[in-house]
Amino acid sequence: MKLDPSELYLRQYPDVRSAIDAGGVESAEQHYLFYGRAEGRIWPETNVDPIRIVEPKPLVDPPPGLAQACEDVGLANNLVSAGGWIDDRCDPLVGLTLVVGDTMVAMQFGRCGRADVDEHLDATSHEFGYWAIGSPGRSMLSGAARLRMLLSSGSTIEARPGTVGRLATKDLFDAVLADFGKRSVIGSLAARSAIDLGAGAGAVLAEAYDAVRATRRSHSTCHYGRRAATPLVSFVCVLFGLPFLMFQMVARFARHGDLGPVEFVFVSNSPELEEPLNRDAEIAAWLFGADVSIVTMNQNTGFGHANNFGVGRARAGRVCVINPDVSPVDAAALQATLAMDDATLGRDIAGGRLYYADGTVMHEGMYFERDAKLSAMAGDGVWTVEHWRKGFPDRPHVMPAQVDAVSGALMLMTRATYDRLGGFNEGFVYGHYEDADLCLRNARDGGASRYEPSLRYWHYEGMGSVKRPEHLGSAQYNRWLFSTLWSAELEARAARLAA
Amino acid sequence: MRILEISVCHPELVRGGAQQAAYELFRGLRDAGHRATLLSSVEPDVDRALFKPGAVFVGMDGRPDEFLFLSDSFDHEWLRNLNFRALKWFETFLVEQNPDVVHFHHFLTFGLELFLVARRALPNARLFLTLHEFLAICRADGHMVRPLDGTLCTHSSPIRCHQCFPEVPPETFRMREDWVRQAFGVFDGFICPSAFVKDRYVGWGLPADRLHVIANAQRNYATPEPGPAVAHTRNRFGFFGQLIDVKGLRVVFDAMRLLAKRHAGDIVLEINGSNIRYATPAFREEFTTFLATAEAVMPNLRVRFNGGYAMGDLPARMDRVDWVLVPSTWWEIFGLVLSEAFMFGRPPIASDIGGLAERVRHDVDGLLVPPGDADALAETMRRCLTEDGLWERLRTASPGVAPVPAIVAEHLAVFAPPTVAKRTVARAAR
Repeated sequence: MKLDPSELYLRQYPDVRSAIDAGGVESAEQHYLFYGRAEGRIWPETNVDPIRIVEPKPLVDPPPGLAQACEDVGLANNLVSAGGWIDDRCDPLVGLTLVVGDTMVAMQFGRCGRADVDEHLDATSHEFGYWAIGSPGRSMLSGAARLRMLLSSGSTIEARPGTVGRLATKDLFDAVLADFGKRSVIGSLAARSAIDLGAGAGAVLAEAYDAVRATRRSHSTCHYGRRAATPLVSFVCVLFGLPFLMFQMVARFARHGDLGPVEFVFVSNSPELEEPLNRDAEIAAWLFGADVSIVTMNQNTGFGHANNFGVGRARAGRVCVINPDVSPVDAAALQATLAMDDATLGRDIAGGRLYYADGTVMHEGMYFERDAKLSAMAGDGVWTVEHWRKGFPDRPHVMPAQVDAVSGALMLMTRATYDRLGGFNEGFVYGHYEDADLCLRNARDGGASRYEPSLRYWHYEGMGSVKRPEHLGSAQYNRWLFSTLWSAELEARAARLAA
Repeated sequence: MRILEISVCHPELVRGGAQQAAYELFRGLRDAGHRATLLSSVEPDVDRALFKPGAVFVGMDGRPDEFLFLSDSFDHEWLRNLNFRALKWFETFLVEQNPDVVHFHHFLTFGLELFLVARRALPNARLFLTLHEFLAICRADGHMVRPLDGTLCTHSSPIRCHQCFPEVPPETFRMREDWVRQAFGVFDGFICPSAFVKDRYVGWGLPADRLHVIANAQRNYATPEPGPAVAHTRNRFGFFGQLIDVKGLRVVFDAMRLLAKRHAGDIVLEINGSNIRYATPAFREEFTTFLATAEAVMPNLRVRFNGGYAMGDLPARMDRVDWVLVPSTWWEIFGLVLSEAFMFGRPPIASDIGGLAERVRHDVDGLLVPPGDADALAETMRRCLTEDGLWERLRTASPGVAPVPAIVAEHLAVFAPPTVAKRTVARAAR
């Protein structure tokens, strides 16, 4: 039995049928020619019986263990993934559709290197691997899974996956990020990531991340120590792994003065650390006379969400977002922090003079720079955030200055400013670039980013949280998202400055 | 004066130099008419039966003024006590005892928090810490022997320590050091059992004027004076101490293999010690193998392992040896075994290192050998076996041990509150 390709196209893309019904387009063929092809949709081939399963034919027979063109498929409520390899040197792969039961999901896909296939085929100039993700747009798919591959000749082959994993959306999302971040490509991984994400993978990940975010909640909120009626400053700190940092941070503050005027709100993204963190918080609050709250989230909710949640529970009129590996250098630094009142701060966000553990400068403010090489390779603007004088020796007589942005390792602002901006953008995955994004939004809203040298803090960067495999992919995603959000504005500003 | 001595472990539960010194000082203070109390920590792996449900403190066999601190939550990583109840009850104990002086020996097993609690509970008390090793400086069991390559370490730094523990970032070592310094900040003074220890801690940044060199207290268990030496071949070597890697028994084993070839006569090795459970598996295996095979491989060697010993066993144990081997491969800060050797007139053959080098006068009252050098140790032992009159000469020059009352007096001089002027200067400096 062979089906009409137009009918197959409409079955595969129900939204096209809706568009035809609504009069937006005349036919399946017209939709494909004018829109579908550009959107990465696949025109079904007609020479192959669509229900016949065939294995791809590589140029060289693969050895055992390399015989799968589709090695694995991941299925979750809001995300599907597939990965494998194909020897398509003679007939390039141009489209992928995941078929699960009676549902077809158009996949966003990219290519990657496979050292094992390279070795077997004795070829290194081609990326034989592929990865693919898609949005099923409905609840968990059921039924047998097959991956349909469209080749440039118009022929289609279908492959059974070697393994099919049905996962929670967050678990699959993390796995996809990990694979995305560590994949091998010919050329620049950063540039390729920007291209792949811009071509549609970014939208799929964003949709999946929205679903992940919807599952977040707090496990518990516990308070320890005497509670000041209204503290002057709320230090809001996100923890991820490394529970010892919470106790050490309070201890290090206590070295430099009375903690009566401040409160600490720790938001833990590690639910498994609920008990040791609360145990240490109880000791720290008692031993150092501190007001300590521990909020435990049910999962890693990322830097932005956790901070927003913590600030929501902060009681002071001023908020200091702080990393757990940051602490005042001396009593004067703590006093300077407390002395920056609403009038001094205004609508600004203040950042500190941060030092590495060896006393060299870690942060004197940040600026944005267009990465010329990456932008050229990616074909679009890629922007990075640079620190002034990172790793340089300290210098005396530094004056406050307006900068492009300040590090999220230490950000002091009024609660009103935080609320006015709506807090951190939670669209960034887990962490990176939220601080720069917040500063840019504040600037757009009439505020400024201010480098305050009197806020002298240690920043023992590198030990503040646990690094997980998914962070490799989230770093690529966040850079792309930041560039997508701000590239036009930063380009325009650069042009103005150049003029 | 009301003095609370707080010791890591109790010497009758776990042998060790720090707890022995603390116990001797406690008894000496009491004998001198002061109201002294001893609080010794104990951990579950020493004797779980001592732990009573819900109790943080228990008595020590009903002895007056001796208590055990039941420490079940010591965090070796951050040198912390993670038991909030223990901290609160410790504070209550301090307030009830209300001592004029709190003197800590070590912080292993009870945690740095106790220092902060002591200052918080007793703002007017004088607080002291005896530095029994270098745990404040060195994460490698306070030995300052580099796990990186086994070499002796002279100073710490975040990067140097990271080299020894590559999985730990340098910043963590900086944070550890900050935490230790914060806890040390409560003390009015520190007692160093040797000048070597003082120098090392001054180099680390503690103020020299708050570091006081006082030898560890040690009663003379050889009283009355050791009897006249009976003439015989001085071929009996004894090892006394903890059976852990850094005490250097491996060097002795290697030296014995060399010596057995170079010296045709009989040689005797007596090993006295315990706590082998704290040694590495490699050392435990080597120890067991040596005991099992040494006499078969070296027919002129007799080896005897006598097990652990209490101070009361020393006369009998010392009577079985002529020389005391102290082959430590770490910076021994004082060397309790030297005191034991000197009090029984048994010349020590010690590593030329740290507190040992400071206390042994080479070729006068003992012999020094380069640490870890089995060949040099074997040659020195051969000299001991063959040089006429050496044993008698060294034994005659033995300094013995300082009387406990003298050591107590030195402590009391440090414990005494400074004059108002001195106190003002000291507080300002702090």
